[in-house]
Amino acid sequence: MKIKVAADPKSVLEGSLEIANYFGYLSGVHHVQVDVERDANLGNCVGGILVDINGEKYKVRDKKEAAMLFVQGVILRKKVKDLAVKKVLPPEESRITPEVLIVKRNFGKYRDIDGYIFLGGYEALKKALKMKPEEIVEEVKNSGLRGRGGAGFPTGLKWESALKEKASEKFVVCNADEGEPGTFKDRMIIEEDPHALIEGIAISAYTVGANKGYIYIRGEYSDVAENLKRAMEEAYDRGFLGEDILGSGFDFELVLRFGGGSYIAGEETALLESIEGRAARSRFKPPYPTQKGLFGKPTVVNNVETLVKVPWIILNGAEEYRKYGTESSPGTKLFSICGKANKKVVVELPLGVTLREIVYAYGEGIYGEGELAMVQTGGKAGTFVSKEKLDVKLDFDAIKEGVSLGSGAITLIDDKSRFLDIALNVIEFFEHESCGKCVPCREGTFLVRKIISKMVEEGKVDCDALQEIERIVLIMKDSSLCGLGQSVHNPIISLIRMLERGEVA
Amino acid sequence: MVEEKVRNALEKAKEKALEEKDYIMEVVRCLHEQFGGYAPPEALELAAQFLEVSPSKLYEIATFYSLYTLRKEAKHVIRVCTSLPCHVAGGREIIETLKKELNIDFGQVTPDGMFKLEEVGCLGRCDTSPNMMVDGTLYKDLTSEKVTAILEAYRKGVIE
Repeated sequence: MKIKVAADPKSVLEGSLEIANYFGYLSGVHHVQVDVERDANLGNCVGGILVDINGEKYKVRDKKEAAMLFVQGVILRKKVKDLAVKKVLPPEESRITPEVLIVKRNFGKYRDIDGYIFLGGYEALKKALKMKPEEIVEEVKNSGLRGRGGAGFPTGLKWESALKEKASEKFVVCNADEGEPGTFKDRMIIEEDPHALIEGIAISAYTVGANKGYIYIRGEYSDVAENLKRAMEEAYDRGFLGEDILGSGFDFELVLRFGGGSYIAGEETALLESIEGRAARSRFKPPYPTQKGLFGKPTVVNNVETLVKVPWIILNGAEEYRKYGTESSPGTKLFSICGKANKKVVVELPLGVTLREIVYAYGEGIYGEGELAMVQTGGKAGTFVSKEKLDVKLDFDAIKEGVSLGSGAITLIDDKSRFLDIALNVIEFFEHESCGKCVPCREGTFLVRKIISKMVEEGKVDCDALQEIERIVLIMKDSSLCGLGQSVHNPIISLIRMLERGEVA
Repeated sequence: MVEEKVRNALEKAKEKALEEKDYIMEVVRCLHEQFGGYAPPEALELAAQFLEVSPSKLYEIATFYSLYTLRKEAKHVIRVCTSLPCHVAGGREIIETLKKELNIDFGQVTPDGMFKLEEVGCLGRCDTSPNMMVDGTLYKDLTSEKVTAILEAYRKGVIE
């Protein structure tokens, strides 16, 4: 008797070799003579590993199912209906983009500053301090690096505009508020590589001419922040922060500030308000923070992931960075896979990777009894994407096809979730987190929530009400003050479209 | 007593000042540490007096941000994540269990003053969803059984 186990790259990534070994183990335990073959051309299936027994195709998700299949299919020689696979995907679909470790280059490799220096840490800062600020700006501009917090603004342009401002004092701020549901990449960076963040911030400060900087970290991360605090102390002790850094004459003071539990504080102007000691409510733009930011001074606000890429770009050059990703969205992006995913992890992939690869090769599909129904990309303010559209390439242009990249959050949702349940969950969040400063957002989120609550109470969807919701969220998009109100239409309208197409009930 | 705590909080908050009065958020945070999880109005007013700012500046922070509060409402505050990544990964059942076990809704306190139940947008721990935080401690990969056991441990004083 022969068992074939899929061994194409996708299946291997999903742990097929382990399953194959397990069949070998089972044949030993049960004293049954079986030939286990690893077959790279068998094809694969969605959400599990493809196994072939006497021409019958089965999907196995874990060892428990493998054991069941072995007993029933091999020993008892029955057809195992529960595990029979519905659709086999051809092997061509199994090409997997490998991870590229730029941000994750030091993950799990060091414990203290000595370890970081041993790995080549702070070399980029040394190099940068010998360069002219204009040269650094040019390098970052050439790399095509765009903000990784969600908005995707070109980092080099931001730095250039702050550099050009004439002011007695300038600031840099690291946005570590990471409040976008489904996003936990910045926390990973702070836990795994705090020194690369400090180095990136110091380089940004030198470039724009700032002598003072803040890291604004969300209050919920106070335990994570301990690691960062320790790293900052080490950096001060070794002279990478403080006065006359490495004898260059450049002074830079960096301090930590905690948020108080507010989603909107992640919006850059609201964050500045918070540091200044006020409620986190967005400011009118312009003037932009690079012109008039913290305490009225030119300020550069960058996301954690963006800043961690800077030392790598300084050391390896813009051209090297551009080898990854697409023309308009160069480089890599961290994706945090969560929700119903089998594997909830942070992966670093070149932009332009397909959602299918992220969902199946890295997230390993979904667990439990249901099937994948949709994915929400980009966090709560991002779009719902149906499983029919998983081949969209994820980059900053994907929004043209209705898929937002946002913060890189990838939330897998199964078919047990209902339209009204998800819609209410989304709008309740925005109603709660709206700061209340501008009318469209404050009243819009309230009205939409009221309409959805009514439908939930009645237990049915009302088409006229859906039209009214669309009208409101589009008004919010055009007239809200900041990104919060402007992006509520993303999840709401994409979800309504899925309902119309019958992709969610 | 109150004055001492306020002075301690101010001193701690000021350690990290880069600009004049850039540490007002920190003052409220440090007051929470000093008073064990809340910042009472008299402390806010006293701190405002020392800082020479209007009390409304401190009230603004203490009332806008969800981690800050003016009163000690319960011995333990339970913050459970209601966002989609937790919601679809079993969070619905966790919330049902919490509400049933405590017999209260969001924003309410149990009659014995032991627990307050709050919903939060996201705790940033979606890799271990569903999650909740009790006071400052994170509980991850929750199941209904785990929630029941955790509540029991707090009730019996096994966890302070």
